[in-house]
Amino acid sequence: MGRASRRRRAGRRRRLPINTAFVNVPYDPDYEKLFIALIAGLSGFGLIPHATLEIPGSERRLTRIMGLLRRCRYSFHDLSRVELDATPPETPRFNMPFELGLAVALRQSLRRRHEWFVLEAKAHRLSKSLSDLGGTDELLHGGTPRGVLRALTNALARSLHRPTVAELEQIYADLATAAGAIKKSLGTGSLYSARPFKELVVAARISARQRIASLGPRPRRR
Amino acid sequence: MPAKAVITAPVPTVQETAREMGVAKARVRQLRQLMTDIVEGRIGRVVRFVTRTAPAGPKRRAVAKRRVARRKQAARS
Repeated sequence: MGRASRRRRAGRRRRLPINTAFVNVPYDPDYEKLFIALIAGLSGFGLIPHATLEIPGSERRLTRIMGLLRRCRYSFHDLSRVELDATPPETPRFNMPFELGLAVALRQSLRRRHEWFVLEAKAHRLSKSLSDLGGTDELLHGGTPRGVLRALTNALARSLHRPTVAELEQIYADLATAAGAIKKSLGTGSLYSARPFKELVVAARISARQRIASLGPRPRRR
Repeated sequence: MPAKAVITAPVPTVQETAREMGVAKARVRQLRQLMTDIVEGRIGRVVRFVTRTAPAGPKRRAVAKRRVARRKQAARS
């Protein structure tokens, strides 16, 4: 096969965005502050967060998750909800560990680069709840927004500028205020649906560009 | 899981993010206005993490003096 035809074939392949991050978190009201912090933090690092809740429900859930995971360069999996829930019958949530398994399998099987991170609220719990990940250092957030931002600064780095926790906290404060306004304008009580999530991501990008100078528009060279 | 991931990709613009998320241009304009209002302090408590650095003004100083005087008087009686 000639080089030209090979290049043509490669051109046909869809280019994957390299600044997208898949967010795999529990969608419960108690987690909302941490969810906002995660969106704020990822936006502060110049990434675009994605979650399963943004895709229309006509497709099969598992297909949606796989499609999103394939499109994302990074994935963040929060395994802090391992307790039994209160509603009978009492069950733990297996969704997050399952999606983490899909991400790990994706990393192993595909040639595409995919980097996954595990978030936890308590130290050493992961080695008990998911011992197959032995040797993996989880990112501890302690169940607080500041903890989430600290964990992200430990996991990520930018080649040009490394945002500080204080800078990310400013984006978080902006976004927490904006979340209330977005919920009010959309007439919803929760952020866990497609439209509020998408608008929150755009709002986080606007705030990040205003708060962190290096993320803003670059001055044109003469 | 890598120890640290170094992101080299360029930071997406607001328009690129909106296109990726499927948010309409008109709505982006509204969100931009909302975020500018928040950042400039016209909406909500946005100075949560900023500590006060300016010295207290004459009005606050007078109120504080009066409060201390009242407390001293109450202690004496």
